[in-house]
Amino acid sequence: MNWLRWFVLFTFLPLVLSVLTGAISISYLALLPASVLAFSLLFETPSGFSVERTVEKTGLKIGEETEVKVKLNVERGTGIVLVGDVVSPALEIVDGTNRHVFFKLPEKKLDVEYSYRVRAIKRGSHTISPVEVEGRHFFELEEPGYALFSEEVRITASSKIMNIKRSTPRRLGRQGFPQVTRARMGVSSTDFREIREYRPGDPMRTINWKATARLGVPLVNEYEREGSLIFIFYVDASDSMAVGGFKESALEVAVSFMLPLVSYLLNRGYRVGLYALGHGTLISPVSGSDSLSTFTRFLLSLGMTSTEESLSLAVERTKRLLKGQVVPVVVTNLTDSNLTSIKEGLKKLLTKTGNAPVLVDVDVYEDLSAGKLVSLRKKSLREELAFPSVTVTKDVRKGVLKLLEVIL
Amino acid sequence: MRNYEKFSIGILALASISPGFSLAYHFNGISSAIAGRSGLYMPPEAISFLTLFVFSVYLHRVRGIGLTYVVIALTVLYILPYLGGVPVEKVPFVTLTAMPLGVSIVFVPYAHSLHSRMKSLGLGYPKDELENLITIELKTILLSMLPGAMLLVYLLYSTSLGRNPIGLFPTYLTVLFALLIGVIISTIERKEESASKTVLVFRTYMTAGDSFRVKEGSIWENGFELLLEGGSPVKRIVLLSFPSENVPEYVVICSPWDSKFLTKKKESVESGVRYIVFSTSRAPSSPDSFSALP
Repeated sequence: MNWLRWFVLFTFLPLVLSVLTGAISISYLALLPASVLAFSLLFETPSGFSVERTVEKTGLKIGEETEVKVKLNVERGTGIVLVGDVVSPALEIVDGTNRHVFFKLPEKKLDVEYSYRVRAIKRGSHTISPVEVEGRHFFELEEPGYALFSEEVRITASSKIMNIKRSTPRRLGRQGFPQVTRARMGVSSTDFREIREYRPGDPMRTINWKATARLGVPLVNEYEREGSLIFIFYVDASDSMAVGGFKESALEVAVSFMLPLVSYLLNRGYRVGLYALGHGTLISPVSGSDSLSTFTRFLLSLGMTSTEESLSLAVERTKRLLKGQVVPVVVTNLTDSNLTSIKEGLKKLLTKTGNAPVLVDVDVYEDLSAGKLVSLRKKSLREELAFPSVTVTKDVRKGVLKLLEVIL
Repeated sequence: MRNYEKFSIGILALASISPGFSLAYHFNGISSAIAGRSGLYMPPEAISFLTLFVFSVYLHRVRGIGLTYVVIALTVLYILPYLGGVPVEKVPFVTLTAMPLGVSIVFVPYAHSLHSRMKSLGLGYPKDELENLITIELKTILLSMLPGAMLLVYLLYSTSLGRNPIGLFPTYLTVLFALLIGVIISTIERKEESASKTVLVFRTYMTAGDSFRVKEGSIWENGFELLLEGGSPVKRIVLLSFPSENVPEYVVICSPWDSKFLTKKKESVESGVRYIVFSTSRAPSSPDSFSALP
């Protein structure tokens, strides 16, 4: 029974008492609930909402905060007004709250303003939903009014890409691979790289006449060089990377590890490709620092998938890329359950490329109670595989440097 | 919840006063016994009130019986001694002692509403706002009670506390007045507002990616499927809205880790836009609901 039904019942109660006792004066007590009830008929459900929402900034680095301000105006009615939005779990509310409840008084406009601060705790493109507003009649005589205002806000949170140039050892040895790419001096391939301004010495056939005519400056097509060293990363995005919790999962560590690494390799002129295991999505090998945004976008939106895709299958799907000077790198969380599958995949990569693939084993177990035991088990699994391997923990810097030592 | 607890105990205290007076004569013996043994005189009304108050608090707080039912029980106890008629000389006393009960019954439905609201809005809303709300609501109730109270005082004064009511405000008019209110309330219908646009709102609580993208899935005769792709799995509220002229009967929202079957739960028109809310549950405690749906 809602409020109203009880009210009607209690309005009649003194009348019943009056009849039962014969004291007519008791029936006069019905005037109290009846008066409240009569007033309720004059009230209407709060309506005539308007909401304005502003977000300080929509591009954040992980750990950074932004302020969300909301202005609510209610024109008519009497009763409770609920207002709020749905914030992605990857945005932590650090100050204030995003849900509020107000009372709209009769014959008085409700004009309120509130704000809250959110902190990006995880990379990705996160949303703040439109603002929900619900108006409830004071006596619940009418159905509540509901409306949505303002568009969904998308906040992009990215990892801070650390600068690893300063800490790169001068000599990073791996026999057979050049210290710097020789691709800059090589023969042009047919793989388009970018359009850039004409520089003296560029062959006439490379001039992009259409782009030149459009922009009024001589522009040339740049092609990838033959013989460039190619790094292809197979990043596991399957459920095995969910370990470590929502904020600091193995996948998060893997992404934090990949961003500076890819940035470094692209800046050094290497060609870099990336395949997301489980998603079946690929960035074909490209070079040049201009390509970094492609990788950043890809990695920032890379989420977990429950689709199983073995490394062998991924190798098969990318076999056309495994030609030339290819260094395959597999980033995964090595466990007993995926050991066989990873082993087969690594063997297949070795066969296809002729180069020993490098295994990057993500270890996020350090905070767990049995973390050391798990790490030891992982170490023995890596030894069992007998492929070059690197361990990456939450301190990704060490992992990046170790990997560079191994591959360059 | 604490506010409700305090409030309900206050109502029980108020409602216990009336039967406390009407049943006081049963406690004369106890009062005399206390006075005889300890020398302390305790009025039988006070003993009666305390007994009823403690018992009603026990029923409500310990045995979990609803406040409304306990107040009805107190009302029954109040009229028991007066069933079949009240002598004219006792009418003013009966009328006056009925006053606390008359006031408490105004607040019982509000307490009932407050209880269900506390269950649904307890989480996520600032405590100070919820407390402030109660103060404003009580003031509004008291304000709306004022005309009735003034009329009541006038009638009681004019009839010498009910001793001579004939010709002033006949009972049948009171009944008619109350019935009229009932009829008005029963005929109230929300005005059908016109809407030029329809927005479908899908609200559910499920395991989905923290940064998902929405894709269209299968389309069936009376419904369709929405796929949430991407992100790391986390239990979260999913709120999606799309303008559409075709209103489906059901919608299935699927993420790689979970799926939910949503049906229409609510419809509302605001500023020329019709919002149709689809959800899995309308239970007040469900995180599916933006707030408790009545």
